[in-house]
Amino acid sequence: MKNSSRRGMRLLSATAIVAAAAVLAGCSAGGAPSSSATPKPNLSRPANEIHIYALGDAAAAVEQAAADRFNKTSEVKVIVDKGSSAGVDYAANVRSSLGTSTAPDIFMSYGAAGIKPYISANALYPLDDFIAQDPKLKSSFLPSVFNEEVVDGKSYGVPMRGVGPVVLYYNKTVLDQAGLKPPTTYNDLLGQIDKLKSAGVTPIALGGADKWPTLMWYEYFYTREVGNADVSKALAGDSSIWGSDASKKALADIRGLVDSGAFGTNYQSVHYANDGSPKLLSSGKAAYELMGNWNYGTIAGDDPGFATTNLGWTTFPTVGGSNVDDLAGNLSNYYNVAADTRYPDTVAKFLAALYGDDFVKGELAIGNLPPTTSAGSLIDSTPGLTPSAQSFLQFQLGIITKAPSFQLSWDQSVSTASAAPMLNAMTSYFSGDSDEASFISAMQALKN
Amino acid sequence: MTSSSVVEKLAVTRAPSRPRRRGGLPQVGRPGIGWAMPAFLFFGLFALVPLAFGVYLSFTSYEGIRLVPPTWIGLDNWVRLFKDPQVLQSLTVTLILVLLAVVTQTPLSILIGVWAAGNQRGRAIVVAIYFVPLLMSTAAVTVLWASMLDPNFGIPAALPWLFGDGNLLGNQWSALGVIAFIYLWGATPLHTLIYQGAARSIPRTIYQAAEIDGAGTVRQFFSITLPQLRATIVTDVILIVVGTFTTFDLIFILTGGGPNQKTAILPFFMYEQGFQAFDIGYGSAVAIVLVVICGVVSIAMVRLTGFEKMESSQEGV
Repeated sequence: MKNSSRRGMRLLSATAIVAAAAVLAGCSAGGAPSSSATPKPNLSRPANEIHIYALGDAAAAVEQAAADRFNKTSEVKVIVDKGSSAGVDYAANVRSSLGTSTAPDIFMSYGAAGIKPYISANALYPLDDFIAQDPKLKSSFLPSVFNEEVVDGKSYGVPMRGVGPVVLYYNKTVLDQAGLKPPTTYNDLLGQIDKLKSAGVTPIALGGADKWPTLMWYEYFYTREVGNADVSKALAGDSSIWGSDASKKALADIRGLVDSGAFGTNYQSVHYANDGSPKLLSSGKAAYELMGNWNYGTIAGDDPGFATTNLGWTTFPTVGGSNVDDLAGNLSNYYNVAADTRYPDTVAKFLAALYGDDFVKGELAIGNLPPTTSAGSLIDSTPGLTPSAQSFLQFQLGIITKAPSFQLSWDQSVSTASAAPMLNAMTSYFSGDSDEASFISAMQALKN
Repeated sequence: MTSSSVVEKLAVTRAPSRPRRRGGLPQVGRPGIGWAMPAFLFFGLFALVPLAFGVYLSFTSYEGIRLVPPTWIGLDNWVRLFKDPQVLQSLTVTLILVLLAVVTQTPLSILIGVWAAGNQRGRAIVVAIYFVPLLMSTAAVTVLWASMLDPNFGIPAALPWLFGDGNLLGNQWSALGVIAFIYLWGATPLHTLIYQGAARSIPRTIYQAAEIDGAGTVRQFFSITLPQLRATIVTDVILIVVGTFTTFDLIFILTGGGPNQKTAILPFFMYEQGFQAFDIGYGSAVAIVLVVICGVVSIAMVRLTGFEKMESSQEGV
């Protein structure tokens, strides 16, 4: 009895331990690796189908509509599979499925840094042959956006969905009541902080509990103080730029703004999601929010009345007079093609739909501004857009057309290994937990 | 025919279908090893094989792309792991959370479990409501709590005299407190259920005898209930410890490891390395560390509490 209970207990302990091990270690297992030879059409993929793995948010409906139109005349059908709505999870799913027969034929990426490992693994289909047969596959898109995924002279991605510049949103009523106008310079903004605080509002809403909204403040101060050309070099590994005077000036600007109390005292507990920072703005508890263009849709979905009447937007203030029109944010999303797709011709034909008027209008209707040369002329003829939404789209078109350069979001510009440590270094400096020297050395230590 | 000859005859008749085992011991009530095969197979396939593969990956550099196989790099990940200050910080935070979980969940679960084992008026309704958190996924619950804890629109905004500016997730200790509280709220019903079952199995006669001897409710609780629950307490504390060591979704959704990585417990750190940085080799090394720690802690607890020496808690009744 005693021995058997002891054995039983040992077995129970061992079971618990190894089960925990399986859960933890098992999720690290990427499956049996195969050789890295150049993939050929994979005949074990489904017959007469190509699969698109779409980011599973509202915009997936536009892709589904494009697939429905395409399938009316195509022998090989386009199937839209909706994936995670979180970019990180989406990217992880793509990564773990590539090289299998169930991997998508077409999938999304955010820029060159994200696809470089796939290019090295020969997992992506270069699109130059497609473009040679259909030059509009390239010429229909804004060159600055299209060129992001041209790597070593080969095109790997077709822009899709919308451009995503980060802009400064404001609550018109709050500013009116405080007797203020949207700032045009950093000093303007800094000068408004005390007035807004004494009016009982948080000057700037920030979802600091999610790390990425904080990143946007770095992006713009560096765009203005350092310039996008040098920011790109720094993100590509030129570590001297992080230690430059311009970099230190940008960090001092950020410190000055945070220390002025611009973000309030509890921004580290505010999320962007779950009625967090956008609601601070729409409810009149905050005056400003720096956020991507998708914020318009978020606010309009939550409070359409506010979006159409009291929501304002402007470009990031100038800082010192340099690089005043430069932008930061997400250039676009891109569709990439698996190298072992079974039906490359169908894929090429479907990609052509992404610059077609129907697709562009579908994107405009949900508030996205596709990076096509046609988008501007289609804004006014797209049904269902409110005057406010049209005005926001025209504003975006204006700043994108005017911008000499557009810096892709930093977390999309660096290797996946660097994104998390970079965001951690940023939130740490922002909250005053680390100093300028620690931030600079953390950025210089990033892997490329 | 005598009764003994009938027995002999039956024995002879059955003999061919029941071959004698070594030692000739009766096999009645002792099923053969074959019955355990499905469980062993399942365990081997879904526990041992992935574990072995995880150990292998911890000695490799692997980006998670199947087309590029893992590269053997020997002890590099392990050397890096022991030098990485974030590992020590994550381990410390993990241990703090484990301690918080044990000291909050265990007494509360025992008290409510013992109460729920009784037959008070209205008990069933209260218990049914109390067990609701068990039915909800941690992810859903955490999203709900994240919303309720919003400093500007949630509970802190309604009770500023208690929460100040509501910056609960903005410093390490209040963030850990919030995590421990949500974990307590979500996990206690399960542990309570375990204690409820255990308390119900304590024979009433012991209490009746104690009552005759003049023992009050408190004395009965400390002198009868707690000692009788000893085996359950050890098992349940192991469950809490291992469960907290592997908590991930709560941290991931609520704090993202913040503020400034100060709530980044080991499983979260493992996720960051494995699935955000796609440094699967290093992430696997962290996973193996977790496995070893959970194993050592479980075995140590069993040894230190003398659990394996325990016979039935009802012995002597």
